[in-house]
Amino acid sequence: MNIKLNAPVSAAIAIGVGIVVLAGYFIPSINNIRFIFLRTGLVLAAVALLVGIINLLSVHFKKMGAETENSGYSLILVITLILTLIIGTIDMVQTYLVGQPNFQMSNWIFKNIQLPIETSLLAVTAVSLTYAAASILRKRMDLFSITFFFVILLVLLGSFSIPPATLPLLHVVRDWIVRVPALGGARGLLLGIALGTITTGIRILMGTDRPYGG
Amino acid sequence: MSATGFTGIVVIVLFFGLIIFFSIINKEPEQKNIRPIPAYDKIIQEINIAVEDGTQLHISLGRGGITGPESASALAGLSILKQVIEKSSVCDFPPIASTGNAVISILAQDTILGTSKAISVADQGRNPSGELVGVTPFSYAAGTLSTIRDDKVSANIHTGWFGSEVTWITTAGERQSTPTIAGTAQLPAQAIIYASASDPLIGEELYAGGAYLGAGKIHLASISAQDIFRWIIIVVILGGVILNFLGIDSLVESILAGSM
Amino acid sequence: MMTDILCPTCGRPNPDELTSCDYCGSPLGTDGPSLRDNLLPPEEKSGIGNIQSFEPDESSRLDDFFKSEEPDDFSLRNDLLTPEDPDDRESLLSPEADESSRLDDLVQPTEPEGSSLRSDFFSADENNIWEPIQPSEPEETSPPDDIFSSEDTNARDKIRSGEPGETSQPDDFDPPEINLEADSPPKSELDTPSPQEDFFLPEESTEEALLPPVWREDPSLRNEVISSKGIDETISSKPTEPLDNAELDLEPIDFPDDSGWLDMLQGSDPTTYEQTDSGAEISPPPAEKKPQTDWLEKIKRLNKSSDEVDDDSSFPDWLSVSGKPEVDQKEPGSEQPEQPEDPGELPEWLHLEEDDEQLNEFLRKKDLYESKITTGQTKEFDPADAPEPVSQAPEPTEEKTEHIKFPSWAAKDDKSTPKTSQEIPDELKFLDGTDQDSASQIVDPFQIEEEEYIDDLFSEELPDWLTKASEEEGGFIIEDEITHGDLPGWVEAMRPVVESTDTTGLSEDEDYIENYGPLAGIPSVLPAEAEHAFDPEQAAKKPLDLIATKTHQEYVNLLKKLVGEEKKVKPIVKSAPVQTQRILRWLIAIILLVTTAATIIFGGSVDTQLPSEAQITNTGYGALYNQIEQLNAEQPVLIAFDYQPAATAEMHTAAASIVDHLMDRGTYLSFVSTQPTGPVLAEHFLSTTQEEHGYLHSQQYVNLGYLPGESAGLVSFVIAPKQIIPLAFDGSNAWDSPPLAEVESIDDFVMILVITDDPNTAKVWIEQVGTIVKEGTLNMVVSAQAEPLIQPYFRASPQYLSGYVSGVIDGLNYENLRGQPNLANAAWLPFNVGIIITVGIMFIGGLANGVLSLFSRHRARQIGEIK
Repeated sequence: MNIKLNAPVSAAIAIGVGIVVLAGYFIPSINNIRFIFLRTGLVLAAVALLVGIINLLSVHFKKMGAETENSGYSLILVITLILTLIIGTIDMVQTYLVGQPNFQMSNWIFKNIQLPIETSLLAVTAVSLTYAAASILRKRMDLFSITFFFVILLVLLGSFSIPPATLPLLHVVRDWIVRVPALGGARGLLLGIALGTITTGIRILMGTDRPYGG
Repeated sequence: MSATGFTGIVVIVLFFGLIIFFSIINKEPEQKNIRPIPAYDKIIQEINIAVEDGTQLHISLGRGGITGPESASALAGLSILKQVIEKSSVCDFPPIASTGNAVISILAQDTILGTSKAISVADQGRNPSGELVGVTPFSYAAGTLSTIRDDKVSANIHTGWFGSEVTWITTAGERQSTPTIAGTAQLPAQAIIYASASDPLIGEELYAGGAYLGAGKIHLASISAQDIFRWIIIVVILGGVILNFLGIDSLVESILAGSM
Repeated sequence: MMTDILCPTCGRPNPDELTSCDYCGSPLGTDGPSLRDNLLPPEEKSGIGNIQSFEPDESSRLDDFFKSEEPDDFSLRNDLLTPEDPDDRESLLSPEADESSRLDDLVQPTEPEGSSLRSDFFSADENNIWEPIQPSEPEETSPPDDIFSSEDTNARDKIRSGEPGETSQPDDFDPPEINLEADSPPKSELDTPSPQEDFFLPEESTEEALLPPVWREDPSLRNEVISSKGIDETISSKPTEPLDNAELDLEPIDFPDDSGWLDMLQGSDPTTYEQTDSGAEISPPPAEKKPQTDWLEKIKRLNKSSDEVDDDSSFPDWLSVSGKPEVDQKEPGSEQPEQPEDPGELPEWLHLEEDDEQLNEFLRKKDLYESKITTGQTKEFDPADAPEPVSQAPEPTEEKTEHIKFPSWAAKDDKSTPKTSQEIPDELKFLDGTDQDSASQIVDPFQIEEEEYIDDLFSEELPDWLTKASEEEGGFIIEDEITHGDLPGWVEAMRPVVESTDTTGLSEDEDYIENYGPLAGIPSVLPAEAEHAFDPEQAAKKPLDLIATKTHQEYVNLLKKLVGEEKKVKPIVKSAPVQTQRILRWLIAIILLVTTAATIIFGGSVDTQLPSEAQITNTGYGALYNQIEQLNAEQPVLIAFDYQPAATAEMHTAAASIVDHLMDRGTYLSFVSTQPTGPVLAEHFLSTTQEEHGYLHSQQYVNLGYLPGESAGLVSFVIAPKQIIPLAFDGSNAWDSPPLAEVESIDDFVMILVITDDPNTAKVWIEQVGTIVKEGTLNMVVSAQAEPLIQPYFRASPQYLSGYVSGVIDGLNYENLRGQPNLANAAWLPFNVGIIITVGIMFIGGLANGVLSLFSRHRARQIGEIK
């Protein structure tokens, strides 16, 4: 059965639930309803994760069929996903049905494949960040960019702490930078982000922004 | 109700009222009087270039969900996605959307389909899918790289919730010599974006995307409401500084502590 | 006798076997049936040859004249020949007739069942005078025989057939289609014989010349017709009948006295009729006098002045007569003052000279050449259907005719006709009523006396003899170059403004007034003609000389270059820095990898100093240390592993000492994570950093697993942890195990330690959990990048964050504080070396890029200034 919820219905549900959850923060009497909505949302989020995985599979299945240059990578992704799913299922069956907790294979995959890959990617990120910091003056040559560049240098140098080469002044400068301008700037950004978050939420509650296809 | 709760209600009601008020008294969207943000001008420019060249845009919505503070940036990214699709409807190729969160992926697909129907882009086969490219940050970044390196992509727009993995995304765009317009609410990622992206969005500029891309009067009114509250916060901060300077800060602190 | 074919263009005779004219080259023969076909029976066609069907456009003008209120499609041709009786036409054709009989075919038009010009001119009863025309047999019949029935042999005999040599062949004449219809046309306005009929009339008398032969034979009938009708009376004003039965409604026209050629036409000698092979002569009825042609008179009257022409918009200009009598007008044997002085001499304008080519061209231009006389199948001519004879012959032209423009085809050939001025050739003597031996002359029924009619016809490229004639008349002067055609009267009448070249009173842009053409007199129009005559042929021959300066040449070259480059595909060249970026990246990566690896492999440890009390106070790691120090054994501690696998190295380095401290204190640990990979990371952390403590699951620690929903899930867990996560990661009952046996709510945890690399996750924990739990419970181990964001929560009041460790640096400090070196100490030297290398690379690269950027900007500025 194909049920299509029209835009007004979707908007009504979204707006109603949002108002109830928001009011639950301030009105204790409706906290239970808010809690129910939150738990329902948690379940939907988990289901959405499953839907996303299925969508990922379908996309890469299509890429496998097409003669694109990355079709091989899609094949590897699909194979590894299915393999990991099978292994995880086996482990779960063993753990929850047989009663013998055993996640060795899953742990092995995580420890020996995912973990090294992700840590390596972060390590390469350091290289990219270094290059980005080095080339910032080539992209933009203005006061803010120059300040940004020198602040990076100061903070890094302030983190350096090898006794013979340690400069206490640098530590003081670094601490001051972190605690004062960086902190103040971060707070200002957070305040602005908070205002924007409130505005976005109110627009959702007003029905002006309807990302649910309405 | 605690002071925090009361403050929250006041803020929300005041915000709502200001948005309605400014939506009534503000000028027409075509005559908006807001400061220029180069990143959004660049977006419009890249849309025009994509139309002319027959290329497509890539819009990345990050990996933030909708159940936390990152949801605001994700929703802002969805709003920008909607405007870009509307404006680039005459492109030979529709924009590509990629996400790192399942819920945002579903919302992105819904936004694309709804906007496409609204602008009568009938060929759904050509519409982007808003696909989920990865569930973890770096897997999301790795999955986005293949899209960025596509020769058909003429510009990249990254608006949403990103972490340090945004470095990969922005540098990949730089290697392809394609402009990168990026913005996020995550502070560390903002620093990276400022250093590596060609047109960064700083702070709450991300949430002004709808107003700058012509989403409507409400968006412009919300910007005005934000400005009002920004001044309120500035006054409160300065007032606290003055009170602290005058030695009345302890009284204020006790009041605030009690209300919390 | 060999039959010659008259060229429809130039009118010259050509041998029968030719298909194209020797003189002008135009094709001979007709595509369709011709008048000859109509006049002669099919078997006699070959004798005559192919006659080019001729339907001059100008004849239509004559038709307009003759039948002013007739339908527009009515033509002289239709007057003479009706397409409705094809049999009659065919019956008229005599294949054995010689060329001279061609004109005879026209001269004695097939009659009449339908309307004919004659019938238009004459009343219906008068038309019956004409003998019915019956098809004649090839051997016995002649065109006249065909025209006239066998019963009317006398009339036929009277039709003279001239010698071929004497015959003045209308070179360009194609007899119009003879319209044969059963019904005789009613009385027409112009109740006078048609010009054709004029041609056919004998020269003895005008009236007789206008009368059909049968009339001449039967004087009583003739007189009856003449007396009863009279030429002048036959012209009615307004015929209302349809075309076939229409009457010409033209008023009688007083032509000038010297309307010679028409007079000649009126007094057509029976000898003009083409003599058939049978030798029968058809002589036109003798005319006592040359009757006035009312319609010609009308023409004359109408053309006395231009006003008359203008007033009478329906009067075609080509029929207009300027008023000046033509000296050379021939009026043979008539009382008309314009009788030629020497009837035997051909007028000068009739002399054929070398103008035929010009005339041919002219006629071609006037489309006379292409005119066709459509003829259809004609039924046999029924004498009973013969139209009423014309009561009156058309009157001869008056002396008012100024000059006569006669096509060369109407003139006798040079060979045969002595060309003398003021002399009518023998073959045309019938035109003025004089007897002519030749009955083979072909008289063009379209010959019109008045030069006004012919102005349009002959206004361009007139033959010399015509121009000479017009000059003598003092009228129209033909120049070699193209002259402007005269506008028809009706166009003139439509001229919107009076012609004026006075530009006074006009604005600056209205200073030009058109002087030519229909727009004459109108200001501010584009010129109708170029100031200088433009000969396209000469222009095509002559190359265009352009004077191009050097600048023009440069522009031309530039344009060529631009146009040529349009087709070239310009490859899009990507910017070069991509390559240098890759090398730089590789260089940075190699340097960092080598130095760090070397430091790890070959480097040792670095002695670190214990921080002082002042340094510890009011630090996050200090506060955390103090809190852990206050914990007792078997107290439940909740640890949240909310960091990404990528941040494992830093998080493990920073958190190893803290968790070790907790384990040293003997606390029960509970692991939870809002990340899907959290539970696995927790297990990995324990197995890699805390293996020495030997903590067992469900004994000393419990792994609760993944908490979905991020902040919402966290809030739910904070509210009801047992309901949100009832089972442990391995499926066992977590809340019955020792670590969680005494935990009912979140507040039962003595400490909540969040290990995260994401500042937002830290914020969520602080905002969702820190505001609910007791103060001093929440602590964090965060990445260095999150420190600025969580520090305000640590330093705020109330203090939502009790303590925190930020990155490798605080981890080292914590280890130093505990006095137990751990991962941080081991990573300190590579960490610092990496920092140094990174700072160096950034400094050098940034400096170099900055200088290059400055230089490029300067260069761009210089180029911009140059441009």
